[in-house]
Amino acid sequence: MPDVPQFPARLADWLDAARRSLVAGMSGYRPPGARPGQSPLAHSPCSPSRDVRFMFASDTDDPVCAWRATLLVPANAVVGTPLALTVVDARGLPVADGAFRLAGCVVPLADGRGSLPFEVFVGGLKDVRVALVRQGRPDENGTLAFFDLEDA
Amino acid sequence: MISCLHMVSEVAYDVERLMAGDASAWARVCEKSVRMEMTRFRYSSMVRKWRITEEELLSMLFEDMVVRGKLALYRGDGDLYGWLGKYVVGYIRRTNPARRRETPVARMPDEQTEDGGRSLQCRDRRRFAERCFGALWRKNPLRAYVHYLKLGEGLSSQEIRNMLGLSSDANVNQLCSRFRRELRKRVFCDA
Repeated sequence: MPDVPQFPARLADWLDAARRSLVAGMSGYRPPGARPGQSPLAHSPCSPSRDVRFMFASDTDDPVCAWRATLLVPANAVVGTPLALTVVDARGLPVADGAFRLAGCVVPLADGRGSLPFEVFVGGLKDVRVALVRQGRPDENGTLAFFDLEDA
Repeated sequence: MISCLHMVSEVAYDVERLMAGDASAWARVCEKSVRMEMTRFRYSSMVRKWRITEEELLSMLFEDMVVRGKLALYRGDGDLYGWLGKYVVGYIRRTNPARRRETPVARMPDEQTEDGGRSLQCRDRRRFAERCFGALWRKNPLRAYVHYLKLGEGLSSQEIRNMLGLSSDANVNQLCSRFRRELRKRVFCDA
């Protein structure tokens, strides 16, 4: 059987890369290590083939102010994929309303849920201002958590 | 030499019986081969660090080698005894709980007892580690994310590079090792 040329598959890959590049360019995304003039195509972020979960926890253990946030990066996320953000209070109940500051942007919350695009999160990794913003209260700061202290 | 060959052939016979479904041969394979490999270098530190008992590890190995049928991977090319040894050591390396974000304190036996005081200590130790991690994250977030993805989520360097848009796998490893060094320094200085 003669070898079948692989052009259609390559073309599809190229088109997919070009589409991602275009979306990346339009969203203004620039990866952490990229130079200002560098093409976004070279560093379009892409998550692994399984879900990845980031957890953030408030600096305080005060039952009134404490919160925990979970950001879920779905499998094979690319530029434009929305990441689900869930914020709960110390009792494990969703934060009714407010906003969450993460990766340099403020994500509005509705019933403890919000979302932000994948490229915004990756682009703002170096921003360490993570906080729950609730009306009539000062910002409640937090950090990236390594352990899930809920089951400690 | 003759006794050694005799032992190898006995192990081969028992492995054959195991593969044929005779679970009673497991005890003999353990005694002659698996247990000997387990008591070598890496196993002892793993047992100390992660509080896995010898029996637990043996049952994990039984599950993997016999129930999941990994013994059938032996193709008869080389020495069966050597293959078994490499398999056991490889299994112990692969089951490193750190790759699945399990922590040594979570496996400590005192947490499973009703001794509330000891459990609180575990919780405090975890909080202390968490505080150190958070402080370093504020100082250099990219390194902390790389460390978290590598050790917490168990991603490969390539997956992390693709996800965070870093330049190379070496860069990922460098960021991770620097973070680990700083974390170690902080934990030992603050403790």
